[in-house]
Amino acid sequence: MSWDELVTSALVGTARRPPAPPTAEAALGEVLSGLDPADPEGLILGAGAVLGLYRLAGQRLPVDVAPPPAPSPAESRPSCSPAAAERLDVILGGPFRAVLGEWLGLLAGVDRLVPPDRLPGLLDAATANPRLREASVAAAGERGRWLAGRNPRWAWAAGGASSEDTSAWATGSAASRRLLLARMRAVDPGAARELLESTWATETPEDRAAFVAILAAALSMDDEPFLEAALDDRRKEVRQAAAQLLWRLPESRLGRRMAERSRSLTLPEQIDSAMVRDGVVAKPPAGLGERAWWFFQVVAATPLRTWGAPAELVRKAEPLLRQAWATAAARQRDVAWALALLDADGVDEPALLGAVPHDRAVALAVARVERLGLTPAVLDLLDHCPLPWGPELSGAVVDRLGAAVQRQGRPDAGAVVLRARLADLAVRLDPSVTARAAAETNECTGWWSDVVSWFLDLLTFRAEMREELA
Amino acid sequence: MPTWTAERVEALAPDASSVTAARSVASPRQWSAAGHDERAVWGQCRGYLAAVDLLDPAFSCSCPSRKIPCKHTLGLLLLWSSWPEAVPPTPAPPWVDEWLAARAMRAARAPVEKKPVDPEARARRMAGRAARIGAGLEELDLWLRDLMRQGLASAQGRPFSYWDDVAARMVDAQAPGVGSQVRRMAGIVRSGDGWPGRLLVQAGRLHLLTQAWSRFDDLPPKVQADLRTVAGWSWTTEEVLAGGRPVRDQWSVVAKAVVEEERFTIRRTWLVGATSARTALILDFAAPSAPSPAGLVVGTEIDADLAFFPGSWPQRALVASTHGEPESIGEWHGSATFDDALAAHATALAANPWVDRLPMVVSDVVPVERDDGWWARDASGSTVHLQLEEDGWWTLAAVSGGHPVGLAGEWQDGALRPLSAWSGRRAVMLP
Repeated sequence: MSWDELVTSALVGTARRPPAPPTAEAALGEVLSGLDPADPEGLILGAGAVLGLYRLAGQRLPVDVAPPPAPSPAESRPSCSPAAAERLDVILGGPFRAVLGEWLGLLAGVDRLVPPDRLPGLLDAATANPRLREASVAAAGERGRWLAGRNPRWAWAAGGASSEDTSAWATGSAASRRLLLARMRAVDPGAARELLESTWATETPEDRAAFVAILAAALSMDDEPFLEAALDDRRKEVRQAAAQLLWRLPESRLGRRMAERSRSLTLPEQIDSAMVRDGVVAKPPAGLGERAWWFFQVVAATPLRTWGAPAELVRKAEPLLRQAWATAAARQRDVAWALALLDADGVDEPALLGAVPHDRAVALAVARVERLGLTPAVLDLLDHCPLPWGPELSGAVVDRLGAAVQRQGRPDAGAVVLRARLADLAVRLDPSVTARAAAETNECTGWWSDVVSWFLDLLTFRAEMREELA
Repeated sequence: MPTWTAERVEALAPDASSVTAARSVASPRQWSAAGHDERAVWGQCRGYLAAVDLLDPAFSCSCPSRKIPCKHTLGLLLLWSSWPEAVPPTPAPPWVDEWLAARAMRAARAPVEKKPVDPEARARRMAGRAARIGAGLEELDLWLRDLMRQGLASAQGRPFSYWDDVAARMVDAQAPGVGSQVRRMAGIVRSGDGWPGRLLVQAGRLHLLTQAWSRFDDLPPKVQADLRTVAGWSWTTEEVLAGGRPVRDQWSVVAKAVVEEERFTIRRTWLVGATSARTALILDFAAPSAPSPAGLVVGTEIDADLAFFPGSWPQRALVASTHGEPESIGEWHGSATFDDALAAHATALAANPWVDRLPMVVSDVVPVERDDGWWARDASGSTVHLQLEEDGWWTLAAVSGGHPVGLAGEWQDGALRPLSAWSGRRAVMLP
């Protein structure tokens, strides 16, 4: 009786079918012959043990003859140190997740890679946060790309590491194609646009709108003909995305049309289809009249050189006009206008700070912080202050923070906003001010203490992180 | 003075989140009045007083956390390992002295309370337990025979209580090891294709146990020890140390399995000896938030004497003494092929038919994903099925990158549960 027959007997039970005594050759047969045929249950249990263990001990493994999948290519850069890798574990594991982008930047700065065993964690984090994807692809190296090609969840990271490899454009998922276009745009803006144009007619409306938005990086007049054509797209989202980019190009045909419309500096009587084509939205936001809204949009999209030198004009202008110019200056990144408007009162456009050179922006931010303190408006402005902030601005912020957290009495609205946004500051301040921040906030009131201690932890964490990746 | 590396501190942590929490407090800014002497390390963190007894690891902290060790004590050790200058050698403050003195007093008092062993009473107790186990196993044999009469097919429709009731009776008969073997049968019934064959082997092994126990006194001491181990009759440290000469070797810690039970955690740490080529299992049971007693960290090796528990295929051991400090593993001691590893398993099974979980350490295998699951393939093309979670698989795939890696894990029921991988002269624990 074979093993299979024995198992069948065991399945149906000895009550229905008493087993035949099992036999085998040589030593195994000798052992089996010791079982008592008059005891069917003992026979089946005994044979089950003997034959079962015999089979278990002699188990043969299946042999795989299929060619193995191609292994991952060798890396050109080494992995980061164990200490830095442990830092990454902490970042991925918990409350310091907000510094992942900075950590990846520091890693790229020292030309290192994330060690292989940390790649799944990194790829998962960047899957959840698309803004980190480009930096993650660089940090993951060849191994990361190889790994991502095996897991559909990480398909966005499997595309070419170099912009020349455009095979993912034809076959990749929506996410990986967007990443590919963005990466290519950073290296060769014209080639990226031409790649997009080559398949434009067959793209879905969602992809078309997303692709146009990607062209915002390295935008130039070379893109103007393509964007002008996209103003006639069937889908509103695509038209709007194209108009938003053209508003940033003062030399564009759209700019000339807008200049024509705003020449009279009067509120438009009505909105026509040509205005809608150029991205003007008919329905005003709450609190603004229709005509004022149309006027604002037209001026905000008009090339600033239409008006002349800014200084005198800004001083005399009505608030609505001034606000529209501020929006235009931020969009067109016009330094002279941005500086004039930043000097003027009553202009609520923190994005202007992004239009001026880095050193000027930081100097302006320092002046604002020192003059006004950390008010909600100054915090908005700081949101647009480009990184790195450097020790001077960071020190000014920390000094003002020290004053704010020691203030006794009931916290006012400004303190509530500052407390809520303290973590945002902690990820941007220069970590060299950590000790100063600790000293300044030493005497904070109870209402501040847990947020301040969190703020200091985060700053300390970033300072340590920099040492590891210096 | 012991060298406390971050790995060694992490091995003390009750769980992964404790490590993260500890790292968040392990910076000099957060500590004041920190220091150490040859007995202890101490400091103050956010108003909490934390101290660690270094000679006989123990933890004290004034924080309300119920985890032992808490994030402050772990953070203190991490601080000491990363910023030694922040924890200078100084005289201990009074509260540390008091704590150490109280501990020393408790330790001194403990042996006094212990009654001297009365050999006769002990022999009576052992005979009593052997008889109770024997009675339980007779009952088990009747139940196994009844299962055979009705057929294994009848087992398929049984509720879990059918197995659990018998298992509970085995626990009552002071044979908890047999109880878990019976509970395993319930799992086998639901394990898919080929379950009747696997169930028959398991029933056969238990039958073999009942038969062997009925002539316990006629069997050689090693087999008696095997039987006692399967029954779950534990050994005292004295019994183990008295059992035979410890084996001194350079032991690599190659894998660690952590199984969370309801009231405690089981940790199985697997070691491989560099010259003896033996494998050893260090088993410990702990409350969910207690530290691992032996500072055995995967990826390190240590010169140590291991005392093996008695049996025909000694596997479980305890660390009798260590010589020097643990270091990173220099060389991976694995079988060249899966067939070599399985040949060793066949020898083990021949010596002790109740062995059902064996370590498997191999040198150069490639993890492969196929439509039918995750596999590892050795240089000869032989493949074994890998039993692991999604997280574990992707970590393994990342570490390998399609290149051969060393693998260590547990072999059970014809599949390998990988616990760690060796690549680039580094061992990585798989989640």
